[in-house]
Amino acid sequence: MRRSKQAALQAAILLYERLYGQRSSLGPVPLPFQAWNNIGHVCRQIDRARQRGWQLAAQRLTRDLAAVVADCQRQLKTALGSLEAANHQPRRVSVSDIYHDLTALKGEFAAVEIDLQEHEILATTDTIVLEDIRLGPFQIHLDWQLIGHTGRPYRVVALDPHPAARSDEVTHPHVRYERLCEGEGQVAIAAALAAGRFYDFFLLVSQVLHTYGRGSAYVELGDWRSVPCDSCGGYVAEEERDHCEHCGDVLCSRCTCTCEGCQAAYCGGCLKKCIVCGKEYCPSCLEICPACQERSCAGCRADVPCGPCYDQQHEEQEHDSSQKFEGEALAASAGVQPRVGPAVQPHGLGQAALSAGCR
Amino acid sequence: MKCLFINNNGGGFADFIEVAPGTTVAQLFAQHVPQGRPEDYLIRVNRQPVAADQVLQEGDRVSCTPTQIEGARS
Repeated sequence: MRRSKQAALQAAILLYERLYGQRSSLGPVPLPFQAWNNIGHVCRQIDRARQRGWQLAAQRLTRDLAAVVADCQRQLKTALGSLEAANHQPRRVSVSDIYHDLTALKGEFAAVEIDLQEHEILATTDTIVLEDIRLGPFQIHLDWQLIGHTGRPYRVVALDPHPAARSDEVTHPHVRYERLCEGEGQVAIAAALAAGRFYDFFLLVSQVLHTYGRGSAYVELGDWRSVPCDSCGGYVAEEERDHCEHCGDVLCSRCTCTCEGCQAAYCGGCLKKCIVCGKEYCPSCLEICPACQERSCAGCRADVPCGPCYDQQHEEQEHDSSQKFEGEALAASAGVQPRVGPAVQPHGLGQAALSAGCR
Repeated sequence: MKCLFINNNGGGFADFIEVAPGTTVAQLFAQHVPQGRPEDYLIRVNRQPVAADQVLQEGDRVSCTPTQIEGARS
C-alpha cells in the first residue's frame, strides 16, 4: 500500500511537471517601448521647431505626433489583451490534487497501475456487457508524456477481447485499433485532460465504454456476431448462417442452395446441373459420363453411359444391325459369305465412377 | 462558502462556485443541473460516492459525470 502511494506521488509530480513545466503561464507580452521612444523623439523635434520659430514645421510634426501616439495606443491595447488572456487560464491543479485523483481511482476501477518506467497510468474497467453481448474488461492506458502533443495520449486495450465477428480490430462498438471514438464525451474528456483532472478523465472514458451509441458504432451490437455471406456479401447473423458442405463458404438463407440428391446445403458455385434432367446436384451426387464427359444424376444414369449417350449408341447399334442385315441379304443374293465386323462394345465397359471437382 | 463544482456533461465545467451553508448534495445538483436526474449521474464529493442529503463543506470538490455518454465511430 505504501509503495503504491509512493508511486502515485511520484506520478503526480511527473504529471504536474508535464502539465505546467513546459508551459509558461505568461509568455513574452509585446510592450510598445519603441512606440513610446518615437513619441519622445517627435516631441523633441516639435520643441526645437518652436524654439526656432518654424511654425509650419511644428504643425506638421504635431500631426505626426498624433500618428505615433495612436500607434502606441494600439500596441498597448494588444499587450493588455495578452495580459488579460494570461490571467484567465483554467484553474491550475496542484500536485496534491493530482495525487488525490490517482489514489481515488482505486475506488472506481477494478485495478489501477502506475508504470513510472513507461510513464503510464493504467485503469482497468469491470467486465463490460452491452445489450447482452459480453465485451470483457478494458484497460485505459494514459501515457502522460503524450499529454500536450498532437494526437491522443491514451488508448483503450481489450484485456479479454470479444471483437466483432467481422473485424478483430473492433473490440467495442466505439473502439477500433485501441482508439476510442469519444462522441458526446469528446469535449469533456479533452477539458479534463487539459485541466489536469485525471480522475474525471478516467471516469469519462469509462462511462463512454459503458454506453452503446446505437447508430453511431463501428459495428452495431445487432450485427456484432454477423459475418459476411461469401456469396452476396450481405451480413448474416450467427443463428441464421449456413455453410457450403463442399467448400465451406458462409451462406445467408438467400444464397443457400439444396442438392436435389442428398438435400444438403451448398453454395451456387458448388452445385452442377444434371445434363439430362437439368436439376442441380452436389459433386457427390453426380457422375461423369465416360463417353461425353458430362455430369448426370443417379436417376438419369439407370442405363449407362448417360441417357443421351445411351440413346445415341442405341441408334448407332440399330443402324449397324440394319446395315449388317442389308449386307447379308445382298451377299446371299450374290452367293458371298458376309464379313463379320468387330463386336460392338458391350454396355458398361469403362464406366468407372469419377469424382467431379468443384471450383 | 466556496466549493469546486465540476459538471462533466457536454463541454465540461469546472470552477469554484458560491454555495450557501447547509446546502446538501441533492440541492446543489438541482440548482446547477436543473434538467438532469441524479440517477443519471455519478455524483462524487471529494472523489467519493456520497448520500444525497450530505451537507457540503467549505472547499468540497463536487463532480457530476453522466452515466451514459455515447461514443461514435470516427
